[in-house]
Amino acid sequence: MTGSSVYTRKSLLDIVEALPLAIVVIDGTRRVVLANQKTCLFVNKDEDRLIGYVGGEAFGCIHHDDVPRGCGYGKDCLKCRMRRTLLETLKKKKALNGVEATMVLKGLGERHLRIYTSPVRLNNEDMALLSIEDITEAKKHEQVCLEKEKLAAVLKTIGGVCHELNQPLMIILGFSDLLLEDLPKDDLQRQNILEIKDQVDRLGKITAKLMTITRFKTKTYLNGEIIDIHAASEETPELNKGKES
Amino acid sequence: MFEKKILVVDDEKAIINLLKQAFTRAGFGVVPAESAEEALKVLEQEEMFVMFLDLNLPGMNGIELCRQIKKDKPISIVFAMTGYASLFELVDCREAGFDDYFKKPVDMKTLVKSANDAFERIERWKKK
Repeated sequence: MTGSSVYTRKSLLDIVEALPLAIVVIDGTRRVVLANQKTCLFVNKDEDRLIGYVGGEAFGCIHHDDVPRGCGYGKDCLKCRMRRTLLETLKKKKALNGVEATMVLKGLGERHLRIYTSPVRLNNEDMALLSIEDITEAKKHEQVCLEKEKLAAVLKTIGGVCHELNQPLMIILGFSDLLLEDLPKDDLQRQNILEIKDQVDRLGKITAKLMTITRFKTKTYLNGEIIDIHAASEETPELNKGKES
Repeated sequence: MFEKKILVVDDEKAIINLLKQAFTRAGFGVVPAESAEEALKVLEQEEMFVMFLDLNLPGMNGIELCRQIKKDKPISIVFAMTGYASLFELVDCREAGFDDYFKKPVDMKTLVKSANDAFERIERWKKK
């Protein structure tokens, strides 16, 4: 959507104060010219510490003073989705809806924001109206749900894998026992069979550990990620002895 | 003819073969069944009191089979063998009446010892 709505400062303030989101108006130099009370509450600042400041500094972005020129010029500013979205709206007079941006704000930590921008004309100047929805808690909840779904899928896979592996392991272990019974005490092959039994025992401990997985934890493996069996399972210290890398 | 007979129920032929050899060497007779339905037919014809059941069977599963056996022959001693069982399934095992369970892989000495203990218990019950 393109084109700007025209407002006076008062008419615009009357509207944005009635809305449940943090809303600011940003001018062509990315300075805050208007902020509603919800914004003051969100960044925990009075209005006079917002008005006239460039966006990042006004909101308390930890990167706003990375370089002497301030917000918008640091290395991290190039990746800032808030900045890019605002610049696009200011330049193209185009509304952008539901852009997700992550910012680390002083005193608030990492916040996940969903932003909406809209071109406006205020006092005969092209500006951008910025609405900010803090979705940090929703993101955390979403992450927890995602982890649960992943864990459920992992547990189903593990159940199948353990069942399929433990059957042949039992067969190898059992027939090794029978062979040992048949061999004379001094037969050299006894040691080899005992080695087979040790390895089966080792595999059995791994499948036993797989069955105690309660968390979705991964570790880097070559260029990808794999389930970290030791970190994801319940604490069973004796099974961690001699764990393979 | 063996006096002490064990019913072994598992759909994996190699497991049946293994348990047959191990229990036979220990002096027990073994009657194999590859499904719960086959096991119930065997029990209609033969009197057996010690059984090793795999939980994951085609058709009726090991838990249902145990319920049925314990209903018909409460004195019998039934062991579960499982390649994988969640905590919930183990609770179901207990509720179904299994006397104990073994997670595969389990060594033959453990199974033979359990079978010996089971027959001793059966003998004690019979004398009462």
